[in-house]
Amino acid sequence: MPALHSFFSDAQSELVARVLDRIVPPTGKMPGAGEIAVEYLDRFVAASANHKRTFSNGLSGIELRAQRSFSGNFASLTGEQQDEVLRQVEAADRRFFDLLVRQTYNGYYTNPRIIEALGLEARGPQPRGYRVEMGNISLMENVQRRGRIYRDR
Amino acid sequence: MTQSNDPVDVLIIGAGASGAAFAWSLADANINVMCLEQGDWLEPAKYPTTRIDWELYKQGEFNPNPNMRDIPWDYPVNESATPIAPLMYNAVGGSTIHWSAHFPRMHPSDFLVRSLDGVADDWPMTYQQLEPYFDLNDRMVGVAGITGDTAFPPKSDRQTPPIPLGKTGDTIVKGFEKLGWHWWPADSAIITQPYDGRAACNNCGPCEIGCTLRAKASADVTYWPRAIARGAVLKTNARVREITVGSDGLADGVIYYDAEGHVRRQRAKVVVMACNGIGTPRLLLNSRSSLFPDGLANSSGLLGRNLMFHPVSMVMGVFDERLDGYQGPLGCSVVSSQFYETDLSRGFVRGYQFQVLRSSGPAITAQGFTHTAPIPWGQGHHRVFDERFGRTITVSVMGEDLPETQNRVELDPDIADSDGIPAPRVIYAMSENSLKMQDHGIARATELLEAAGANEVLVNPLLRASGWHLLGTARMGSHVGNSVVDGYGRCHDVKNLFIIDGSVFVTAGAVNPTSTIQALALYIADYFKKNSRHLLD
Repeated sequence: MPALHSFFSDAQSELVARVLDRIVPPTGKMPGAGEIAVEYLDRFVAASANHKRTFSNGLSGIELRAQRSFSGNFASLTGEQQDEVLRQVEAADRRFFDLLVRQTYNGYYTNPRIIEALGLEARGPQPRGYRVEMGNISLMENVQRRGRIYRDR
Repeated sequence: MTQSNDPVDVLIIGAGASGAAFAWSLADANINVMCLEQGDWLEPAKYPTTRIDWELYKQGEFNPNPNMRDIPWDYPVNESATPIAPLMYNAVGGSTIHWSAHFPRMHPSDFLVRSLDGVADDWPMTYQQLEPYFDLNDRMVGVAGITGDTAFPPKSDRQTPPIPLGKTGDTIVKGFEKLGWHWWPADSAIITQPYDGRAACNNCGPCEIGCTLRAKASADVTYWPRAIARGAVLKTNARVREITVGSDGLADGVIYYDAEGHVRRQRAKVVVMACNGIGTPRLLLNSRSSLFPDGLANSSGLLGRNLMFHPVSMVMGVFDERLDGYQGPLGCSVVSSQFYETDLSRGFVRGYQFQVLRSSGPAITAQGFTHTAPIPWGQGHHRVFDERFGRTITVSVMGEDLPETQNRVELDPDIADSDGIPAPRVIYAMSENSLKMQDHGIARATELLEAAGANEVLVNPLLRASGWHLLGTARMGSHVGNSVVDGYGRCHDVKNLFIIDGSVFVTAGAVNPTSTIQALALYIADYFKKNSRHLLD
């Protein structure tokens, strides 16, 4: 029995990981989204019947286009071929693809490992808040020198 | 149906910005005040600001669009016939819960648009007449700011120093000064020093997911505790379906659903609508009877009409240096009234405000802050992300849309809330004047960002999720031929029915309206108290 917060089959999880690595690829200092955001995406999809339908169809569409364009499954294609397949899906099924990208970004950029890799503190805005400088408000004197700009009659 | 036989003196529908201020003011005068609110109290300590994934909550339960939230006490809004999506929050405090707390007043000329510019109508009162109420409201909420703004007559001292400008403010001010344009630190309903028992802001950033510190002056932490201490009764999870009238044609109470979905009745000597510019016409249109077949207080046919939103364009500059705009209150740094007043040589009448915005955390940056230019997926993703994250300033161009009767709120024939009350349907289009104004504003904001040193400027010409300001749908005026209520919010058709929210605005100005909405509620409350013997007789 898969956990309630999980929806993807093993095969789908593997496909999603490869797709996510094309959406946010690994670079020198940053891991790819395939390593970071699959679990988040799985939980997100599992929470809604609508999203389950959208993702079932969307993921099938990716494999279908991989077969049709390059006669292989998505995993067997080169990176450039995979991007080409994803561009086709983006054009054909905008709703699915936008949701996929948006939620990939959500899963990736709220992950503590990524937040630290960006050089930020891995914490919420509260309770510590931030120290922000007042800035150079003395320049307001220039505005006052330019005079009144409102009308009241 | 459960019947309450004791009528209250004054029954307020809606516990947001206007209802809270009105309840507080009236409860002072030994008037028996009750407020019904369909939402509930929120607990500031539980706001998701402490979570590392706080950006998800901005898109979920704190999404300003009720259609995206999936919270049972919201009502859906049919937004298929408007390019601007209406936004609101239903809770004690109303939309001040998720608001950015940018707190400008309407300008003196906003009350005189017919006299000065020959468009729409003048308001029944002037800036000077409202000024004592602006001042009283400022003391109640606690305003951060600094006096001396040349776009206004001199104001009373602000309660605390301004919100720090930070690198965002310092950078944009360079642009303003290079061009010689007006700017000023924003008046904000956020305290920067302890005030009135509330803690000071610590610049955490996302005011829109609720203020854990109570530094932001949402109505649940300002007016409501004081109103309740004075004896006002606030019932939550009480969703009003309709206002009822007696055979004399006067309002005699409301029918509402309680938390369990039971139908209840509350009688009242006076009913006060405070449900915002969409909720108020919705409930009045749903209050039909043989005496009022087109909805209550609608003999003018103007109920729900003249809806104004303030169209918003977002212009984002990308800078080389780190500005760290995710630190500090998002909506409050610097404002400009340079293009606020009419100059017909620009090709349009009236004007717009620039509000300088900070930025967001990494997730919303990637999606495109204010839906402006999402970061592309694929091989270039990290490069573009690094160029943008913490390095943008967004100038919001917020224009005055003039009242037009075809922009309106109706009842939807098919969609309803969870108690079966018909949902509102919004029909709205931007006028030629508004389109020219926004184009002008986008060009000037681009010039400003370039003068400040931006190396790239990105534009979202009309932000769909910008319907924060719901105005004009039950406007004030002199008689039934031109308006729904008089200059004190009293319905021409039903003398013991008042409207005190943004619905009564004659025009919209080009500033965020909450400060004016609350000042107006206090002004109407004073009129009410002076005439209460007569009004409650």
